[in-house]
Amino acid sequence: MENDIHIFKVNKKRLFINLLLLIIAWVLAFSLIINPKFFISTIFKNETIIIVSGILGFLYFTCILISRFIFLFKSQIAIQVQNDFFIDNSSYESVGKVYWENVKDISLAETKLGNKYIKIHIKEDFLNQNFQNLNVLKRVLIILKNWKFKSQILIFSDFIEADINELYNTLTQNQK
Amino acid sequence: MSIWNEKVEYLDGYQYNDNFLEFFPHAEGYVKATNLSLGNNPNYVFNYVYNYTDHLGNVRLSYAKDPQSGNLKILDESHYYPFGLKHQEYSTFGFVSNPIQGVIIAPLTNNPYQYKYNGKEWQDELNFNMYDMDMRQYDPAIARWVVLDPVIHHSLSPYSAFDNNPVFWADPSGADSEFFSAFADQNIDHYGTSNTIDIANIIEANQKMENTMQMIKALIKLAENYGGKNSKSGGEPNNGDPKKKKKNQNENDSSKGNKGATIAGSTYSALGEHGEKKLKSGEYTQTNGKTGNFNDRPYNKLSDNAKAHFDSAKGLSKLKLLGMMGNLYSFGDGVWKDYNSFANGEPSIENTAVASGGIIGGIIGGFGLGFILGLETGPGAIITGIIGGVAGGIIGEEAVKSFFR
Repeated sequence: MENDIHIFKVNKKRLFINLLLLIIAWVLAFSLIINPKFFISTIFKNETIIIVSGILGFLYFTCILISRFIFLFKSQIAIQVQNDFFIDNSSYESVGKVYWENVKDISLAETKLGNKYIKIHIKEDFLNQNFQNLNVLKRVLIILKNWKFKSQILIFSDFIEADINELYNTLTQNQK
Repeated sequence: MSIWNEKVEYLDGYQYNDNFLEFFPHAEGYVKATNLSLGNNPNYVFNYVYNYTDHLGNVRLSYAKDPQSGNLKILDESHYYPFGLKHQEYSTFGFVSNPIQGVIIAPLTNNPYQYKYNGKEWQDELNFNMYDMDMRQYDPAIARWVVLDPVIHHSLSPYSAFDNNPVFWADPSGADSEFFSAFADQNIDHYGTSNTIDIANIIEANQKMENTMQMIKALIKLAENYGGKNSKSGGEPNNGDPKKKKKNQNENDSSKGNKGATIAGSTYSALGEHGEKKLKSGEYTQTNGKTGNFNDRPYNKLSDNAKAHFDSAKGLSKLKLLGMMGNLYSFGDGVWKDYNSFANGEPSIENTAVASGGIIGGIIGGFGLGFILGLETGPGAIITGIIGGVAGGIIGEEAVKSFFR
């Protein structure tokens, strides 16, 4: 069988815009810590809650910012799909090379605002083993971005030069 | 000024008479400073004096511990007619002034501490006999302000005080009557008098409890509807919407190995999208059409996918309920304030509108921030949502407020 290689590149322009927006969000989270009184509203009346939210947001956005900076300068190819495996480098904390035999199921899902993404269910042994070898930042990001990080990976097309449906079709066609 | 030929200086609660400190406030009253020196170099002795205040912040009793006898000693006792006129002295404490033996706590003829009705200073110099409230002066003898109300109330005279109900209202600012339970929130006023009193706390606690109880009842009813007691398992039903049906079908198709379970209160039903079959909370249907209930079926016997759906549904439902409670509380708070305004003859919808603006702004901000940052999944989405909600809430509120201004 012919070994087709499908390559999806990183869209650095979108990534850069996202970085700018992230910096704004990071500043916003920081301002919640230093000036909580300004943000007191009918919903959030308690300064402590605002400060705690600010601290959590600040830490989270810092992690995301660092990861996206690294991702911006390092990655060229986001997804590579082959007959035997696919390589997911669609974000800093992505899983990397996965053989099709470890993949249980691929499905298309939507966020609450209709943003589509691909959910790939993978054998837990494989993901657990992979998780042990990751650095702390990657582990934190994986946990914070995926409710079921032990059994599935999520692929967004936000920073990929391809339509999500096209990517989904390519993945499902090559899945064994 | 307490006496016309003396220079009294006020420094944020610290009061000086001819450059000598007289007293300064503490949480429950004031600290009386007695100068033992007759020269220009003061040698102070300090004694703590405690004020007993009523529910309106009126200072009723000042007492202190006599350093010599060790017993409590009453320094001043004030009783008022309803509109604040002080009763004539009817207790004899032997008002003796003896500055040399200043350490002896004794009631003074000219007690420099003149904070009395509503916790405000009584000014008797030049026989003014008025209270100096923050923004204007009040004459308790005629039960009227001597200055126009800075805030216009069409239904009341600009000189009438306490909305003609001085037992219920206090007006230490001179600009707006305050419901006395408001004092319970601020234990200490500007001059250090304690406003905490049991009855006010009890009344306010009862009110809060009643409000909370009503809110909880409403929420329980809402949750029952939401959970399916009234046969709606998650927001609006999908009555024959072909797109939603298709989406549901796709979801089931993609769940390989899961016997095609549709779960009430699942991720999709939390979004208001569920199958056409109306499910009760905990119920699920299989592709063969049979209906079951998780309560009748051990959790560990579910398929992996069903477990995942179930866990996610539980988490999201709780989270959504929490958000709804917060929003409902805020909205209820706004409505409640407007109701109080209405009851006071000043109908307004500003508080309700501001609360609504905050809620709408918060929701848009919460979802919007996650969307534009691409952080819409996982626990991190909650953090992003809260940050967006805080920012969106304040933007929404300010937008509505500016409209009202």
